[in-house]
Amino acid sequence: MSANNQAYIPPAWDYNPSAWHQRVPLAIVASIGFFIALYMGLYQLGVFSTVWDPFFGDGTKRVLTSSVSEAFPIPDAVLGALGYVMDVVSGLVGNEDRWKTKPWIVILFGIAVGPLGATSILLVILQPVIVGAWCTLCLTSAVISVIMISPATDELLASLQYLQRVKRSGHSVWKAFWGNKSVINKVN
Amino acid sequence: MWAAIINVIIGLFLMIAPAIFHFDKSIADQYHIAAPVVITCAIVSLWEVNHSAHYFNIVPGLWFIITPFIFHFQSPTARWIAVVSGVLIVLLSLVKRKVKGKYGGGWRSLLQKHPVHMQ
Repeated sequence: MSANNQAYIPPAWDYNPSAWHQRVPLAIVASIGFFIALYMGLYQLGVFSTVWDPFFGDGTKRVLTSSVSEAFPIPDAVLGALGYVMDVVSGLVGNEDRWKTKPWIVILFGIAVGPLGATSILLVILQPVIVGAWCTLCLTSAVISVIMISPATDELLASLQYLQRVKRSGHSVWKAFWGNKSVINKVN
Repeated sequence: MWAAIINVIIGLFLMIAPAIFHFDKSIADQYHIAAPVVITCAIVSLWEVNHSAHYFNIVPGLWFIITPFIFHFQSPTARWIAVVSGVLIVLLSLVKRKVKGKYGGGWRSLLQKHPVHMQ
């Protein structure tokens, strides 16, 4: 695996952003986020009658039953849980050279992590401003989403640089995006 | 790196300040909207590949400096905390950081004619 690691380092990089030791910790962190969101989602769906909050009393309850939380067809924490599933799956699909062999999954991963992080921040802002309460687990989930952004975007950058090289060399970016073998063999 | 960490701490302080000093709801809202942005940009910039994200904090920093005057904050505490924190956030956002990694030329390479990763 270490021999591969060397070969898979993108041009003008010091490390391989698609290496397992880069991606597995992210999947673990996203899994923690998933369980937190799932717990809150199950409360919103009525599976649990109370919800845990060590600091803000009934804050979590007020946030999770607010108009903001119920603005979507399904409870927002359930949506968050689905987002984390997308993070884990798109984070784990592909080998250590996926920045080059599967740009589509790396870009999907970037989309999953980026907007999910942004939505989390928006929800953090809406809690005190609109609902007038704080929610410990919501804040925890937001922190998880934010710390995932940078470790995920390095891989996104490597994929975009690869597509840039494909474009400059006159090959089809569309084919490269889906991992066309002949393009992979021609462009570094 | 240290500058971003201090900005995270300032951002956290700005989030809890309205509760500590009992600001009015309208003032508290200003704090609660801009502070999470400061924390987010600062955390994202902790990783070298996105170190430039730190410059985004100039926007919420400037916002904290001018918002007490736009919205006529009545509480002097709320005014001072906003202005002083805003100045600190802007100054810390401007601190240059030594970048060790290459990252193929970073995000700006995507717009360059001769990016490092193509040479």
